[in-house]
Amino acid sequence: MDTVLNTAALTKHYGPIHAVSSLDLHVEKGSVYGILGPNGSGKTTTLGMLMGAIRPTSGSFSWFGNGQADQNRKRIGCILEHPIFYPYLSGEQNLRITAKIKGVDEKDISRVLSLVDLSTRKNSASSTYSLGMKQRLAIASALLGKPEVLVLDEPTNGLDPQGIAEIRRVIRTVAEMDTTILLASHLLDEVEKVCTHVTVIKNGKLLAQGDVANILGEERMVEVAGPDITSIKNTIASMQGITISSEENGLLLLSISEDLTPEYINRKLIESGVDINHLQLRKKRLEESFLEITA
Amino acid sequence: MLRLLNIEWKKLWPYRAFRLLFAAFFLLLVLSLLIGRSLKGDGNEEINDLFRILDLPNIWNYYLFIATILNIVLGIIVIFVVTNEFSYKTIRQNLIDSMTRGEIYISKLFLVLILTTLSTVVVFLSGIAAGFIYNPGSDLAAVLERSTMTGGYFVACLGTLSLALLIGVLLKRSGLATILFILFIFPIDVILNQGVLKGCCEEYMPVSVLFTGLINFPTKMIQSFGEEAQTKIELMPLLVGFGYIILFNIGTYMLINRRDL
Repeated sequence: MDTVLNTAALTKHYGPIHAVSSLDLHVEKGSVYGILGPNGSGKTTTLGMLMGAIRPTSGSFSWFGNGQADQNRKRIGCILEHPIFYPYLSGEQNLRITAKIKGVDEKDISRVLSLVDLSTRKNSASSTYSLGMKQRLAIASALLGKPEVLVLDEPTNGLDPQGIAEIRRVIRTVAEMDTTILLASHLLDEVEKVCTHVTVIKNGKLLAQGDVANILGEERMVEVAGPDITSIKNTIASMQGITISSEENGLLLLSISEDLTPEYINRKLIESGVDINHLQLRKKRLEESFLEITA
Repeated sequence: MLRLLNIEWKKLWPYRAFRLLFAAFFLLLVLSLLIGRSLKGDGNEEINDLFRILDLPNIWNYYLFIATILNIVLGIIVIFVVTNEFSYKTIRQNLIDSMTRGEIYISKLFLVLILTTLSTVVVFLSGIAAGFIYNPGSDLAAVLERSTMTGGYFVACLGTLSLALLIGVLLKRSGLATILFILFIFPIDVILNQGVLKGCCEEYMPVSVLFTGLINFPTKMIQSFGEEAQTKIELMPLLVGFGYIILFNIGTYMLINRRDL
């Protein structure tokens, strides 16, 4: 697979504050790549550096294997933080400026406007738009010229459920057109619904990176308790595919691989002559994995 | 290059407030010629009867000086246009949309150059018109005498607008930038010269050069003082003026190039 973006030890310090520390990202062509992290974790700073707006303190990045050249940005559509426009210009006039900057034919404007369902309001000043409309106009602007990569920063922030659904519909439509998407979000649910790959960051540090299923997948957990915890632990330790995830109040929490069942664990423990009085399967919820990673 | 001009045009022209602002400025520039005619002196005579400021060829010194002072207004307009890009964050979006930092600087330099050229043309043409109006029966050669001093106005205007651009990019906020710009023009330049430099360098200070060095204060033409009006642009202020223009522009470019946008 072709690599769209690579970063090497990308770092940004604001005085004593380490906004982004030594971040290594690797984005493949065609993936929908999520950058997940709580507010203030360095997502926007990272994207700002990747888009040339913020000067990295150290480290480097490379788009399309072509380094940090300004020309790369012509192949990327991006909205950073809030939708940004000349408020006194109409939606269409704003898009004309973007088209001119990117060297895109103005004919493409009507296509992107209808893609985000804004054709009827294209002549109103963008300051009169609702937040949802501004966000859609921003996405339209990012989509001008059919970029190979779309970079979105909290695209559904502050929107009502209908607006959120609308934005996600647009993102999915675009992803189907084989566009690589880089999506920063603090919303777990959003990343899970939209992304194929995810990087979790907190305080500017990378905590986990990989397929969404692996990182945020619903892990199978088994709770076990018995009169003699030590011998349970010893038996478990000798078994393949099981690890002890935590122990509290005499209750062991085990994470088990897909092919194992609670019945199997029960049988093994009995065969080893270990008594138990509690055995229960439970699924680790998404929030738990996220909180665990970012804790 | 044309592409950058086109982009600036698309940003500014559709905005009615900017159109009005520019129109108002150029109207002011043309109308400022009439001041000499309508003001009354001590004995209720018209100022011109007293000082002969509208007589050929003195009119060029008088009018170019008034136009030079009005550069302050044009400078404030430049500050508004530039700081708007920072407060709307559109400068960052332009960059994200693939403009280079160099292009961002050049498009603002173009704005300054075009405004300077436009007002120089307006000043030159209305100077000629005023020459004929206030001196009926003159021939073109008489009206055009000393009109080349308009070149000095061009340098003064470019310098003042380059300073406004630098301050706008430095402070990013229109209110602060306007205040610093005005403070710079009035007390700061004098304080720097008198206080820090012990008064040695008045003719080399930026504001002195841009506002009185290139086009002299027209008291010199007051006939009762027996002094002559300025007849030509001196070489030294011209060189110093160009020096400052280069310095201000290097500063602006470095700020745009190095800072996080």
